[in-house]
Amino acid sequence: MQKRIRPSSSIRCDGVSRRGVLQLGQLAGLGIGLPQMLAFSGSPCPAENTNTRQVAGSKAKSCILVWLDGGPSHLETFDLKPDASSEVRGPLSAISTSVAGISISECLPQLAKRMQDFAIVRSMTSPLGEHNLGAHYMLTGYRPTPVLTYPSFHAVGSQQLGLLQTDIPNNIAVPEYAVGGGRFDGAGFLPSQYAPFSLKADPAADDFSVKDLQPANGMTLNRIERRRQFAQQLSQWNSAGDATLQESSSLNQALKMVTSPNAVKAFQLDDETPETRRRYGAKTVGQSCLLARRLVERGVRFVTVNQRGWDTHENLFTRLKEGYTGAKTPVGLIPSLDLAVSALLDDLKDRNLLDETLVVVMGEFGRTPKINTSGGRDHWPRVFSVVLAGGGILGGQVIGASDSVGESPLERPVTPADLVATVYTALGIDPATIVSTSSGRPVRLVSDEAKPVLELFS
Amino acid sequence: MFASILLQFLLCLPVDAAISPVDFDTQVMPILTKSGCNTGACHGAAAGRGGFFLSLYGSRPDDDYDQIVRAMEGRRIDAERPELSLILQKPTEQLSHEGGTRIELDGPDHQTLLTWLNQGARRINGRRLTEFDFKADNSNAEEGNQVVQLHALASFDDGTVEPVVPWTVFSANDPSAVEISESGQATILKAGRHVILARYLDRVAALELLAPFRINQQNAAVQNFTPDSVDAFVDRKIQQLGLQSGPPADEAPIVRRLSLDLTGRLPQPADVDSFVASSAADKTEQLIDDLLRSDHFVEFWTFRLAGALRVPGNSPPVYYAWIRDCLKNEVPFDEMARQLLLAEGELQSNGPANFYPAGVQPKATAELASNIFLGIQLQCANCHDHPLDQWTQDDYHGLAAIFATVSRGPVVANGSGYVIHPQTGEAAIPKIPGGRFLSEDSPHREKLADWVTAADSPYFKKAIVNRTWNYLMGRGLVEPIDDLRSTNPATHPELLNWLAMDFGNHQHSLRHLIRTVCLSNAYQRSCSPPTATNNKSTTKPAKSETEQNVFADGSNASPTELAQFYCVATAKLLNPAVFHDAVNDVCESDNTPRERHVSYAAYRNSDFARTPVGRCEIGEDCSVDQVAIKDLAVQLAFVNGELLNDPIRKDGGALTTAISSKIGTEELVNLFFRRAYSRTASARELKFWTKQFHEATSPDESKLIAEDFLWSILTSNEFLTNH
Repeated sequence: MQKRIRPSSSIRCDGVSRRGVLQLGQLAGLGIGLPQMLAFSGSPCPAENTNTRQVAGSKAKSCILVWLDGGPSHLETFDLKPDASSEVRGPLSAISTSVAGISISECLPQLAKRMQDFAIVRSMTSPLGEHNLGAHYMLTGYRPTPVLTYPSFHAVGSQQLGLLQTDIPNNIAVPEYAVGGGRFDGAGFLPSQYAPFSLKADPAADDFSVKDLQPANGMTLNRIERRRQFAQQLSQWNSAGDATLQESSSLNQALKMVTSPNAVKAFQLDDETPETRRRYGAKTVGQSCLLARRLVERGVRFVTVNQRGWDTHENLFTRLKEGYTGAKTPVGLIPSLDLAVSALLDDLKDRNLLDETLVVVMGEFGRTPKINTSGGRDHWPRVFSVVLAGGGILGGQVIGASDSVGESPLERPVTPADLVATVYTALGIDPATIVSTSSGRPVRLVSDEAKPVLELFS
Repeated sequence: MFASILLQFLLCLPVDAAISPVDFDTQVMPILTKSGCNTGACHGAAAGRGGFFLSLYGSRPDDDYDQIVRAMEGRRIDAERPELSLILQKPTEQLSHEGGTRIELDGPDHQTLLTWLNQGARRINGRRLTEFDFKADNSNAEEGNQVVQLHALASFDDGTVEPVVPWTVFSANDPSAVEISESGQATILKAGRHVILARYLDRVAALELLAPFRINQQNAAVQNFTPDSVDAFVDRKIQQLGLQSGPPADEAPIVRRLSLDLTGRLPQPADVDSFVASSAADKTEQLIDDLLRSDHFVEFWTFRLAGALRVPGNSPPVYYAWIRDCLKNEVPFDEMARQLLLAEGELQSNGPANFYPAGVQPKATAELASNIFLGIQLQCANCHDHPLDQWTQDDYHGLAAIFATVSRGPVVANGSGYVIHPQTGEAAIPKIPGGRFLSEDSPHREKLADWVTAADSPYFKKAIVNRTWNYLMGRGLVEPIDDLRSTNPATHPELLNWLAMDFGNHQHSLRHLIRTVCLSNAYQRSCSPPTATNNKSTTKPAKSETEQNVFADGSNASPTELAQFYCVATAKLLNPAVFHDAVNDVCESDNTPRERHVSYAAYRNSDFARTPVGRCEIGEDCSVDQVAIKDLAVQLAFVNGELLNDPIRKDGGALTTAISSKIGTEELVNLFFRRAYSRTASARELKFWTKQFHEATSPDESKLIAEDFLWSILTSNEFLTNH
């Protein structure tokens, strides 16, 4: 068994404790705002400090979000209605799982064998049925307002929990972070350094590599350091006037990565055996989950795996199951997801990392109970399902239920705000923590109405 | 059955019946809306809730009455004992209700509902709402006056006018800035401009509250207000908010700003020099006119317009060429819209016909057309009536039905297509959005084009003006720029109206519009805030929320607010194509022919769209307008990629040429400062760079330092922004 690789002996954290964040109001009165506080973030401090902020009893140190972009059909994945009429039931049948009484889609046979490892929430409910709005609510716990873009939970977590390593960005999106229509950058009102590093490269491609990660021809460490110094000087003198553009943190991170063999190594999927790569499935979602595992092994806190194409307004059967019309072996969205997530759970378990890695599988909403005239389903936020595993989540259970046609929550409705509060709780972040926008506005991580789903935890 | 219920009540409840009758449409419905019964999250969803269906925000009282009184064999009302009716017992939570307590037991709303039930739950042809008036007793909060009373007045067709605050739902766009009580008292917690929405029956209205940061003693601009220029409107708002406008930009930055905004190119250093040297009083106006007349203007705005029109990269060249010809020949914008909407013919030979590409559904064309020509989000009305605007499903599918009358391939108006209206399951009737249904034989697209471009059309001109303003000023008067609606008011509504009118009065000329904006002081201001000194630290400390609560005492607006009200100019990140061209213009030696990225060739080259700075996926809106410099992938490309390193090092490029000609350090530094920043280096900068260059121990080392110098110029905010 491998242990979590901690590549650097001088481990840093962001140096801002939760208490420190809570005190920002007072500091702001003295003219010190969040950006200045964050500028202190370079100071080395012991790794243990990164845990002092965690709520007692929480287990997760990292989180892998498998984002099903476009809104996955709950009725074809984790909440089938085999007894409903055919227009509701749809083309797929349910199969039983390793846990008696729970059945899921026929396209998820691998996950069905691992039902004991994950939990399903079948009573998610949101009023927002538009991609950008729904994604914002699911990822931030706040419904969007015209005056404030909230940060995603991975940006917040990345800020609150600090670093476990220093070479690789703490928040990464694979293959890219275009979620829910793509208008959302993930950082919201937090400084952009907490936005996910969007790879913009497909791990399933033969020539996969993170573009421009290898030092360019003629570049030496000395020169890179010189460029950093020059850039810093110019940034200080910047006369363009817009303070929001003055952050050089992404440049610093880029320079750090370029000079780090660890960072380069993390993205080398060729290091994995062909057998391992095959287990995850050849599709983008599979190889992205494999990369996510490699990153989490190296101490990256947050990885978003973005599987696109779930906006199945038409040809649901082909897109969800077959992949292409008449496929002998189904290679659609659901079978690809099945291979990817089950291999991910297996590997995390094998490495004793599942307990400290929260895995969340979700999209922005569900799909309409009735199949439409194009053989698809339209947006349906009223009730849908999400899956959680690892990080202290008790597997083998179903939370809540939808009604007989998958139209409304029947019991235990869970809002996106509740879900985000649950994620924070799993990561040991107090959902009542107050953070500050750049203009000094105090914002609670989730509203006080949001309650974590505590029965999910063991 | 209905008649018998009525009869019973008339017989057994004479006392209640004697009270003036409760009107379903205007007294019962507002209670349902105020209590949240008909929101999209509850019974107002397309699929209802718990089997009980209400129209979203009460848009269809006929259906709602039917649901309450007749559906389920009338089980929602109890004729014998009205107080036990489900419609009362559920929202008061006397019976278990998933939505919780929505109506207070024995409260006034409960009493009104009970009276209505006692009177027989009738829906007589009562009065109709004709006008909803939403105002505040003082929308300019004065010093110390942080509480404002909101008024909501409903006028009905029977002549009655009633205050309806208790049944109006108020919401502030920034709930942390304005608190609104049940009785309609708005307490302002923060200085600034705040928008409050009020919903009553099917109407939504917006109100702007201005809470000044500072009380101005001299309100000259407000008092002597003549609405005849951009600045009149902008300055009045600055005054009203107790803000101060910043200084004008220096001359050299103005040349750079105008050149980049109008032609997408950095100015030639020599042109900057001659502008600064000129003593002509109207030299800025001259420069604007020269730039507007240039071919580069046509090339750049064609590129922009093609992006806004979502011209696919693989569309026939005639489409892009048609846009270019329109701009070159000053075809009025309303005429361009007509040509697109009414296009017919072959895609390969007729540019505007490509507005109807093969295989694209009429609904998609309706969404694109409403977005571009009207600046609205009509797609919200696909599945339900638009909750924040007047648009209905009839409008959405009616507009799609107009476009369905065109067959594609070659575009032919054969009138045979249709779209299915989801409410009726039948072909939607062609309809002008927000207007009339079209009769079967009328030329539908003609009617639509007439309506879109009509002199009194409320949308078309504003949509174009707002988009153009956004290009030039770095933000729309309405944000997002394609979401014009009464409930998303402009920061400067009168300015938007005036510019739209002025645009219409000048043949819908883009050049006239650009000229008008660029000539304003608002456009020509510096990016530095008014209080900026020459000290190193010009950024003001962030004020805490609590401090800002005590406003009107001189507390400061945030940089965002200063920019939002045009006290300072906004530094705009360069467009990705402009960025590529600018890099080449800095790095190439003079007279080297270079490939332009603001060009048709680059527009249709999908490889270009997917470079790190201009990334977008095929099939998405590729009109990316800013380089995402905060993006780590872009920074990696900057540090390590060929993106900057190749042009910097290029043999025969400006840097290698300068080095081999052995020019002095100061000359070299200024060569690139002038190209990239349109200015020379300050003494401090020169000192810094001279020191760096002198650290070189060999000619080779010296060359590498020069490369790193140029690299840091190209990655600096001063280069990457138009400021």
